[in-house]
Amino acid sequence: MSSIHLKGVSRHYGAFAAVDDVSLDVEPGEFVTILGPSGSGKTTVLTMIAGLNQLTGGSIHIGGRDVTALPAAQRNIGLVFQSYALFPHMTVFDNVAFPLSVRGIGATETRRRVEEALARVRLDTFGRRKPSQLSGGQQQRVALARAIVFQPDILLLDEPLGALDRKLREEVQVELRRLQRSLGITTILVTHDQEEALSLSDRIVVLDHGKVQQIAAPQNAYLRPSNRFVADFLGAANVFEGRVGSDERSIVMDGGTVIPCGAAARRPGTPVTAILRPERLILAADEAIGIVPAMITESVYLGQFVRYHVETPAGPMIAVAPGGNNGFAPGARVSATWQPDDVWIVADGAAPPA
Amino acid sequence: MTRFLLAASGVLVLAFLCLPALIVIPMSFSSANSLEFPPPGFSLRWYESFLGDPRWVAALKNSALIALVSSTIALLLGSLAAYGLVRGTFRGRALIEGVFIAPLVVPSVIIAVALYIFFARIGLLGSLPGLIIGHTVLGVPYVVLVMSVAIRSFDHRIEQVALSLGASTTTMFRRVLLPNMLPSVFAAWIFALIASFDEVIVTHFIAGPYDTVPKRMFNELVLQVNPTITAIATLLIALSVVAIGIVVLLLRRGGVKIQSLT
Repeated sequence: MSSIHLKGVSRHYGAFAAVDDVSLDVEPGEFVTILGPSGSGKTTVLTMIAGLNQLTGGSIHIGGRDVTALPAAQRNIGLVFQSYALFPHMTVFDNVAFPLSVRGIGATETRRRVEEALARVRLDTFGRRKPSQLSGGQQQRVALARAIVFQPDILLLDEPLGALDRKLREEVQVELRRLQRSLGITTILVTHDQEEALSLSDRIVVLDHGKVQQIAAPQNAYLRPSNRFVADFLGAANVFEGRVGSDERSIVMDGGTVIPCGAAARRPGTPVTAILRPERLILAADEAIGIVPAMITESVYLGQFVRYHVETPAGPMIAVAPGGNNGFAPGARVSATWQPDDVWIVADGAAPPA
Repeated sequence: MTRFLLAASGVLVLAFLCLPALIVIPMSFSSANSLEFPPPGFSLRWYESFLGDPRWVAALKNSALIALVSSTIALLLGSLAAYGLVRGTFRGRALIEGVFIAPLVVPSVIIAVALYIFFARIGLLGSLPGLIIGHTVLGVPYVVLVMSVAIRSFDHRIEQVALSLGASTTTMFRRVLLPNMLPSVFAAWIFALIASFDEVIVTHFIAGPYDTVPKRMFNELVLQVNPTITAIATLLIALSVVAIGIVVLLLRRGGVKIQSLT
């Protein structure tokens, strides 16, 4: 169990900043996800922690030790790539034994630890196979076993589930989390999949254009995004633009519609952009009781959920409701309501979508 | 109809390319005293005259020695160069790659003259080391080409993981990269070997008193048409066919497609 500290980490290629001044403190045993679109610099951050890419600025400490200038081989880090990166010419057993053999660990001890690691990923009987004889999910588990067998200080996972199909991905996700908890190993995972980030992590680091946008627990990142980019990247959102009302607990839109919100922490009249997550927008059959009247323009049945597109005085909105029997039909006149605290101000002024 | 014409013209072109080489094979087993087609009878006399002549045997030994040593050196240097060219991120990579491939594109005579002048100056003209260096220069482009493709098609992440698992660069090369490159390494080596064994122009310029098989064949032909040549040619064809067969097999095992080399 080791802490990880990134201080002002940067990676510049000429004038281009792939990673720009990233600082992050990961507690021992914590599971942190770096989330961002492709090209956001998230994999570059990971490879710099692993020692496979040089920093152009800043420093990295693992377990209190400055590893900034240390070669990859001496960092004692478990690393798993999306492409599995198994050694194709070795059996599963030899793959997992590799980190032990380069450390000069004896045959008996190696056998015991390899078998234990393979058992942990439920592949105990696969030791003699070649990677090419395994399915994608099995190969990924071998990669995982190989990454933990030498008791690394930290675990780094680069889109480890990206190449798996949806059902398998959910399975491996659960397994990954269970494994991480039982080992108590500090883990950083890199992904572009916001669901994966929300479901796996203790905290999420949202990265865009090489810069940290927000570091927060999943629920806070989702409901309390620090800016419009984070709001959009983590899921669908209804967006309101207007000015803070005189009570500082509402937003007055251009058309005059008043949107109740939580404490604005801004002076009345300040132009702001706020978001409301679709599942926090509640539709009621009675036109009169809601905050704004709404008319259903479209209803999309998604099995577990129904997504309603509605037209309101505050503009078009989306609501997601549990998929029951008593849905609303297109054309129905209803009303929309929400908890004021669920309307969250993401930016001053009108923030264009990222 | 179109397909038939296409196939027919294909066969014709192939015949046009191969027949002159293949006609040598029956002639080498001829019992006639001079080049004659069709051969009047079967005999191995020209193979005897080749292997019974100490001058031919000496040339064969020289050829084999030069080919073995130069192709091995070319393999080492070319593989290292290919790794640097594929994995490196320094400037001017395209230019340097061009320089490595140049001996394949530049007319042999120019390389021959260049080596002649250079070796004359440093005293390597007409020496075995000179011949080996000259043939190494000619073998390197084949190695660079084959090994570049092989290294490029090998997932860089696998090397990175090996390092991160605690392997030194040397251990990574020896235990991870090399075992996966073996078929390509062997193919590259055979390419360089054939390039050296077939080489005549550069050899002519820099060999001095040393005879190699192609050089001696060339000289013999200038003086007289001796059917021994057909026996040697047949042996060389057999060697090339076997070697190319091995190369194709190896490259396929190494996951490299022949088309990606050209």
